[in-house]
Amino acid sequence: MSSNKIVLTSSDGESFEVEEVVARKLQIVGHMLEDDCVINEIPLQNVTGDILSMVIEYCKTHVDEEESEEAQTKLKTWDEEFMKKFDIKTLLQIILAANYLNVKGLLDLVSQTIADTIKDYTPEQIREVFGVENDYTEEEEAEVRKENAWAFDEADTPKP
Amino acid sequence: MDRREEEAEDKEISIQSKEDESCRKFLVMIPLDLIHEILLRLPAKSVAKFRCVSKLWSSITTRPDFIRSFVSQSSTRLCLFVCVNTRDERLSCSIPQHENSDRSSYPHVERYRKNAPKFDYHQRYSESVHGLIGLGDFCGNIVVWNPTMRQHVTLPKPEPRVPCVCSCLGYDPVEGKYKVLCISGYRYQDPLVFTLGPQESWRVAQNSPKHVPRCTWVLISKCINGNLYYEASIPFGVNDSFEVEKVLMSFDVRYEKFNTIKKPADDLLCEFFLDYEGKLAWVCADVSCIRFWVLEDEEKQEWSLRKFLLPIPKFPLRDTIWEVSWELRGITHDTGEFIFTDETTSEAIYVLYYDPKRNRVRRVKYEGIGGEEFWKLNDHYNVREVRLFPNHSESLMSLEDVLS
Repeated sequence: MSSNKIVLTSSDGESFEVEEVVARKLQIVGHMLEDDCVINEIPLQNVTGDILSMVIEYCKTHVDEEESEEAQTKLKTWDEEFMKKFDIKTLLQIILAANYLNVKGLLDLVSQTIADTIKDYTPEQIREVFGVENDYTEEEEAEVRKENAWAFDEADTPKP
Repeated sequence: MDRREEEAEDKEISIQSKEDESCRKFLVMIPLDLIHEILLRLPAKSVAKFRCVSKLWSSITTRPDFIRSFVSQSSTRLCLFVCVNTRDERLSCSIPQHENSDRSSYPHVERYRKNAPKFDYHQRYSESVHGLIGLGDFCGNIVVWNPTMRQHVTLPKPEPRVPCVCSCLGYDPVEGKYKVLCISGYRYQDPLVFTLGPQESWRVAQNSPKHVPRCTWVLISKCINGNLYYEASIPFGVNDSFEVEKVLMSFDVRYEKFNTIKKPADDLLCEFFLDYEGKLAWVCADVSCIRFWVLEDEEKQEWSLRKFLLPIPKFPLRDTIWEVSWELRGITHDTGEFIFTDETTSEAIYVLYYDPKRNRVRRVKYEGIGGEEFWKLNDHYNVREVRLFPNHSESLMSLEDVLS
């Protein structure tokens, strides 16, 4: 059953031939297949080829998620290594793709990776990376900083 | 279609080009629900820091539904919260319970010289209830502390007056509300409830069965899945005299309803509850094994007995490697490991995690708190106490507007 091949095409025209079980990890594809079972080429308009290839790499690795503890640990290690490859800008594109293609596991993973990456950023860096406009007046910002002063304190970080 | 192609081009550019403008154009498209998901996974400190990013980011993270989701998300990152009280200062620190935690983000030590609740000998501590710790004494001085946000609040004295105040802290995960239950440990009177939040006051809990909590030294309570459990006596008349029946009381934090549960028939029950796989467990004093009764079904009042081997085959539990003695303190909520700590030394924090299913023991020695200098300055006479709170998580519950 799983030997069926599906071709996924990215917004910039790159095509990927994958096994149906892998393609079904993309829930958006899963739903399309249910609606019409004869499709074998699926255009994905909101994701570029380089990002789609990463999503497919994730789905291939996670195609049969075994219950055993050993398999779980192995997958976790793979996830960590996989995520290390990306900078924040790429991570943000992966989260958009994971959201659009509806890949739950990847969405969780990349959300956590982004959180771990940005946790020590300053508010200014966040504004830059996320393209957020600072809509506080100077006084308002000073007030919010005062209210959350504890979050700006440098804690002692001794060696464990 | 044309527009989509244009957008796709933008994306291309933002990967390859370092030009700020194109990145910004692309990145503003990150939908709010994804921002919400990312923020939920941050440490509390970063969330508070990012309230300064913009009004929108601040409004996302101060909304009650975010604070509630944050409580449940942070309960996947459990810590052993350690609090060291000396004559002049208090140090506290969170040590992750997980084996493979990210060492760069934890643990961190927070020094409190000010802005921490005064801890007195006559005050009793609750467990860490989803990040908050309750302190109280018999006179009705009740303090709720959020160590994450370095806030604490002293609640108004219970009104109507309660003789011999026993208080306990509970959390309702459905509505995301923390409540303090206050009962007289001296004679029966209607229990009082205080919901933490603005414009709240003590309210009388309706329809409580007549009961007096067992409160010899401290009211031992346990909050599990929105229920508070504690031991109590129920008086009943026999002929002309009164007898008491000892029971387990459960208090539904959300609906504020009490339920009386028969105790398991065991003479060795001690004043110690555990959260065993999300169920209340009542520990027995047993030197040969870890033995407790699990409340399997509250409605049917069914208890089942569980027994586990000790991590070290004989009692007292002197460690085989370190010069320490272990005492059972709890069970990790997520991995089901028994948590043993050592209370005899104070230069370092020693923890032993024992996984009975895999029959595996791991030891953690944590010397970071305070550093060597701290311990040189603070000998045993100066260090008043070391308090440990297993299964502690971070909460963004603000206590600032509780009394407004």
